[in-house]
This record gives sequence, structure tokens and C-alpha cells, in this order.
Amino acid sequence: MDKIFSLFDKPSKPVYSLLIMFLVIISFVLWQFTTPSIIPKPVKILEELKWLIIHKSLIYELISTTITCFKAIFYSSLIALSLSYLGIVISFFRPISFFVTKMRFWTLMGFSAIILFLTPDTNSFKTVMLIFGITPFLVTGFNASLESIENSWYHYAQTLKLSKLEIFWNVVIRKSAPELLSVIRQNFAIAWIMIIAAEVAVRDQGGIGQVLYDSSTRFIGPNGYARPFAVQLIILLMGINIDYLLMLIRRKLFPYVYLKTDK
Amino acid sequence: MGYMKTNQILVSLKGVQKSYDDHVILRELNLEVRDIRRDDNDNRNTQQAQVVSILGPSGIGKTTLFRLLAGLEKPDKGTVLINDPYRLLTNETTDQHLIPARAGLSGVVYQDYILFEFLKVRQLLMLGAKQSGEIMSQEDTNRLVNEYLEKFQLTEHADKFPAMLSGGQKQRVAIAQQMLCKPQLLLLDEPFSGLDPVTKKDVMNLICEISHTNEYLSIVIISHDISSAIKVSDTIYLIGRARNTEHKIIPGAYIHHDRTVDLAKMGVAWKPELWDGNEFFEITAKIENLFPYLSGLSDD
Repeated sequence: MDKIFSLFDKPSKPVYSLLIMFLVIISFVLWQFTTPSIIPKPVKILEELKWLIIHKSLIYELISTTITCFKAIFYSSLIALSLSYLGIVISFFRPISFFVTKMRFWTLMGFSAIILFLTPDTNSFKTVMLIFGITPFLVTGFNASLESIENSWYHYAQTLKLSKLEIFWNVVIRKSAPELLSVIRQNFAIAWIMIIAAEVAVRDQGGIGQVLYDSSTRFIGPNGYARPFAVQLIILLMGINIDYLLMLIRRKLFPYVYLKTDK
Repeated sequence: MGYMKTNQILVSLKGVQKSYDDHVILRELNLEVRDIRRDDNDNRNTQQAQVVSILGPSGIGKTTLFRLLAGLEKPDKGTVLINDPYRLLTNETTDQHLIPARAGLSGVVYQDYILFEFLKVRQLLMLGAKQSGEIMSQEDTNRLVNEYLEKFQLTEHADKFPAMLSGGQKQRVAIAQQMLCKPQLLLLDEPFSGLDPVTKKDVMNLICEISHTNEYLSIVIISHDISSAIKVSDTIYLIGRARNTEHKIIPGAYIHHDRTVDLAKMGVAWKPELWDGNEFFEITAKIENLFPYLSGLSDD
């Protein structure tokens, strides 16, 4: 316990958990008793949360948004993986992969009307917007991971007389898989924020973004801004939980990665 | 206990030169490793692989030479030839047949014991066995892998990932995996580096054991650890720089053949009982004194 203030020391898991609990309790206490009155208090937020669950199908909308987000992440990952793998293996595709990474700086907002016109319904619109939005970030992360594979790994595979296809499978795909899942996990946060923004922009297909918009404009309750705060809180908690789930999946699929870090 | 060198060339480097960005690393490098036969007192030939060490100071170009021997890089000039390992599989070992070094012909064990971290020890050895080029049933492959696990003292670690092993254990897995690929040349890059004295001695014993079990396998050790390398080798080649008549350093390292130490000829090779004796101590001191000259720090 005395190590928590010493430099470059890592706290043990129980100590770390205690620190988090302590931080959460202190935050709630400070929030409840010291913040200005315009900021809604935790108790009021919980009251509004209950109202939203009962009257605005908050859980249903949350699940709907999560499914759309997962669907978009899945398709984006497939597209991004194809581009990154092709860029690494065949020189012809490298400029394409490079170009896609630069699309991170291209805002989709001015383009949204065209996507809306080209998609059959607004649900597809959200998915396509998200795919367009997140793929450049995933390609950037995937490219960085794949390019960081040292030549010695390819040499090692060559000395084992592995064929080019086997080298691709073992060195490029299997070796980089944990890193690529990390990239997806890191970019999930961007996707999560993007889908909420898309739902706020297109409000006639539901989703947690629509609930957030309605709560902060049309349906402000008796507790002032407590209702949008409640939605924000749910968005935050869901994001944290999915992030944790992705971490568990990574731990389950690639246990050897954690053997290194645990050491 | 005598020995004789046969006509069979196992490794041949002729006029090898290698530069990076106009910076000469190796120049006019010539080396010929010939097969060796050992005669014991009972007049029967004892199985004995050739174990050659190439010693030199750090940063002299040993790793470049290692990559050239492994066929992972091509020389700018000259040739790197090795005995075709596939002829061994077809029992055609009598005729000389040298082919240019290419990746996959030699077994390679890196200094940092690179192993696929997503495979367990048994799976790593299975991969090695499958790459041997021999057609084996699953049952035979399993039996062979179990034999290697036992031989390399890895049975209790068979279901562990490389991240769960110590440096010495990883090295044993790496050697076993490469041995299962059935190479005719096993290249070891700094095999004694970063090991404690006990593990270092284990590695030395392991190299001796391997050299006794497969006559047709040649082991080339590239190292700067003089005392360990000379104990397991029959020949020591020294690689380093030299100065011209004006005492200026000539760019690029080469093999100093005039300094070659033939431990077999001296009668001290293959004798672990002498490892702690004066002979090895003196040879080590003699080579150590040459290192400043080889690194270009002194004239002689």
C-alpha cells in the first residue's frame, strides 16, 4: 500500500481496485455536495434514468445502437484488414492503403446527404456512415501494427522452410492478431462516439443518440439537465463495458500476450 | 584420439564482400569448412560433427556473416556455398555437391531465440518436424517430437508458451526445432550471450551432445565469448579488421587465417575434462589479447 506514492511502481491488482473505488466514491461525494446548482446531482440523474428506462425504452435503444455499432465495426474491420494485408503483401495496393489512412482528415458531414440518398433506409445510412468514418482509423492502426513486425520474424519463418502462404498465415496474420484486436478496441471508442453523433443527426430511426437529443431539447424533465446527463452516463458505462468485453476476448483468444505483460 | 579432415566441403565462402550504404562490412572473406572424421582408440570412426566457431569483437560484422551463411542476404561479391542438405536425405553424401546458400537450407538459432509466441513448445517442435521434408505419419511425428522433448529436457515444458520459459529453455526449444528441420548446417548466433554460468555450461554440453549424435551436421557458432566457444569447437576462426602498411585501418572485416586455432590438431578438442585446465585458459588468453588488434584498436 505504501508503494502507491513511490515513483515508477505498479500497484497490485487489489490495491488498484481499491484506488478506483476510492476515486469513484470521492467523485460522487464532491459531485453531490460541491458542484454548482446548474450541474445536476447524482440522485436526480438516477431518478431521470429510471424515467427514461420506463418511458423512453432506453435499454432497447441502447441495444439497438450497440448492435449497429458492432455491425459497422465488423464490416469496417473486414475492409480495413483486407486493405492492410494487401498493402503489406502486394506493393500495388500499398498506395491505396496509404490513401485510405489520409481519409481520417476528411469530414463526412458534407457528404452525409449523398450517403443518405444512396442508402435504402436511415438505419443503413448510420451503418455506412460509421463504416466510412471508422475504416481509415482502423487501416492506420492496422498498417502501423503490420509494419512493426521485424524482419527477423520473416527470416525465422524462412529458415523453417515455410512457404509464402505459411509465412503470411504465421507471421502476418497470427502474430499480428492480438495487436489488431487492440487496434479495434482502441478505435471502438471513436466508433461509439461517431454512431451517437450520426443518431443525433438522423433522428427518425431511434437509437441512444435520438434519446440524447430528445432529452436535451424536447423532453427536458423537472430536474433540469439531469435527463441528458443520465443518457450520457449510460453511453459512458456501455462504452466502458464493451471496452472491457473486448479486453476479455483478447485475453481469452491470445493468452500468451498476457504472459509477457504479467511477467 | 586422432582425427582427419575429409575432402567433403560443407561450407565454402570465396571472395565474399558485403557493404551497406557504401560502408564495407566484410571484404575478401574466404572460408572453407570440411567434414571431419574422428578416430578413437578402438579404430572405429566415432560420430563427430564439425563444430566451428567464428570469433571476433562486437560490431565487426559477425551478424552480417551469419545472415550470409543463413542465406538471408546475398553477398555483393563472391559466393557462399553450402553442401546440399537434401542429398543427405537421399543418401547421396559421397559426391561433392555445393549449392548457393539460401534461407531454409541451414538451421538458424538467433541470439534472442525467436520462436512463434502463439505456439506451445510441442506445437513448435511439430512445426519443425513437418518441415523436415520427410514424409511421416502423425504417429511417427508425435514419437519423434516426444524423443526431442526428452533429449532436450523439455518434456515438462511441452504445453507451455515460449513466454513461460527461461532464456536457456527457449534456446533449447529453438535448437530442437531447427534440428527437427534436418539441416546439414546449424548456425548459432551468440549462443552463450546473456546466460548465467550454469546455463552456459548446459548449452556447451548440449552442443557437444548434438555434435556427437549427428555426424553429418556441421555447427557454426558466431560469438564473442571466447572461453565458451573454444571448449565446444574443433576449429576457431578469427574475424576482424587489419591495418595497411601505413598503419591505417582497411575498411571491412575478413577472416585472419594466419590466426586460426586448430583445436583438433592441438589435441584438446572434444575433451570436456580439459575445460577447466590450463590449456583452455592459455588459448583463451591468447585470443583475448588479439581482440584489440582485430577490432582495429592496436597495430599488433
